Amino acid sequence: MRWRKSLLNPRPIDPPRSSAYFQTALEGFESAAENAGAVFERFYTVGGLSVCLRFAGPALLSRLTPALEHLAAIPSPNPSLTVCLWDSASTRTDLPTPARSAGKTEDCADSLLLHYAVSGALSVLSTQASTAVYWVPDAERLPYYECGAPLLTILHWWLGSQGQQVVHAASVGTEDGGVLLVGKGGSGKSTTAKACLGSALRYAGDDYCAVQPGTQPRIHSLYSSGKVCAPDVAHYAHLEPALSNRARLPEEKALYFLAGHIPSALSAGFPLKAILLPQVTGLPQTRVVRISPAASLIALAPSTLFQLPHAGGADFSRLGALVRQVPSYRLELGTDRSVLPDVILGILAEKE
Amino acid sequence: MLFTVKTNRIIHETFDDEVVIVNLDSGSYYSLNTVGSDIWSLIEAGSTLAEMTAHILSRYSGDHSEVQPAIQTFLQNLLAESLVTSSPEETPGTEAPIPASPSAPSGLPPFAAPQISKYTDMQELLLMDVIHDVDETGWPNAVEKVAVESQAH
Repeated sequence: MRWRKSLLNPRPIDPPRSSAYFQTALEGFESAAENAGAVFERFYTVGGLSVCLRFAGPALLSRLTPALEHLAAIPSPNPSLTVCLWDSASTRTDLPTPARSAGKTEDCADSLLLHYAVSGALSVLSTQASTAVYWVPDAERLPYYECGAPLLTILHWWLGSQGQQVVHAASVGTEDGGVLLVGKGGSGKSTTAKACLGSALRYAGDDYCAVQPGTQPRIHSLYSSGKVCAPDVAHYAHLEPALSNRARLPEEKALYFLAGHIPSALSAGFPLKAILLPQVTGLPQTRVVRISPAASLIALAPSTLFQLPHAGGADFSRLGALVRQVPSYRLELGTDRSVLPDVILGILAEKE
Repeated sequence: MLFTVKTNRIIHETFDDEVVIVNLDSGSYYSLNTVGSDIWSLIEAGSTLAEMTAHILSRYSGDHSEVQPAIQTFLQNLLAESLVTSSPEETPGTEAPIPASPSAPSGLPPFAAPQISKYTDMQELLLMDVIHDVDETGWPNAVEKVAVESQAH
């Protein structure tokens, strides 16, 4: 991992004139940084693009960066996106303008998106300034799911502005090609992805990924985290060193950060070759059945659209194009999970 | 009566013989069967009920007495789901003439009633506003419940 500690305000950011609130939020970050005494910068490659995270003080840094560790990159003088992050508790800096009604997403201008979460998080993105602000009341009280999928709202908006699509999907593959595992929670996509750990298939996420459209669409990993329901933790004893929240089980799902434990099992991305819809059957054998693009979209789109703030027609169109472009299959999961890597490798071999 | 697909919060994708529709406000989503997809395209084209009936009868073997009521029921279902709006025709009496008992051309596939399948398993996700509103124990897979799939009406 590469990061550097910089002096305060090393690279002033020009806010868009269209948004007074964005300016206010940025000023809040600058005040927080001054109070914290330092800005910590880390760089990542997200969706093939350079992203700089600027933390006002260290409190949020340790909470939000583990899931991104596999995407760490060398510092870039001109990142495609800069995110300014702070929390009020550790920096003793309030959000200049108190949050309005929670759970709302607003377009404040053509290029600005704003979202308040009940958990306390504020996400503001100015695509015009290629800059975002992320604020939470207290880094120590950040919900575990925010740590597992940090900055999801901002990345969804920003990648969308770059023509990419965040999808609610797990993903595994090789450098030659991989699959999206789609479906609502409980369908088996996360289980399938984790069943491939230790195989020839590398892991690009168990809940969210980005897809870059094109002649050959490409999957980009977003997070190296993985979640497991507390009662199932015993099945993943080999991942015990990567478990981040044992003390808070079973109130929380078990959250694993895999980059520090099994970095060789992770991938930053690969060409998208197929879309799989896992389905738990309870039967002994695993089967693969070709399905229509429409059936694939039904599995992929709603769970994506309704989990991502401000998702809409553009996202739906991108997802529609995706299911038309690559074949989709229903993956009828048998009781023997050990066969899953070979089954998926077999699908990928057919697509060669 | 003219029907119009609602825009803005109703989004849809059309495939060869299926249509997938999402209502971003309610969290419901839908799929249409082949004949339903045909009618959806006719709605988008601004066709009247009579024109829809004539078109369907030109593509499928069936009786007018069977086809038109089925289309009417389907349109009412779309209205009930707030996927389309209806308005009076601007110039009454301009509908295409309808043959009283059209003879089905041979070789056409049999008419199957247009159907809309409704899925509501995301409604809960939306109502919970899962990114926004859940407590700290669950998101993003806060509550796992069996999908509810139903035939609308």
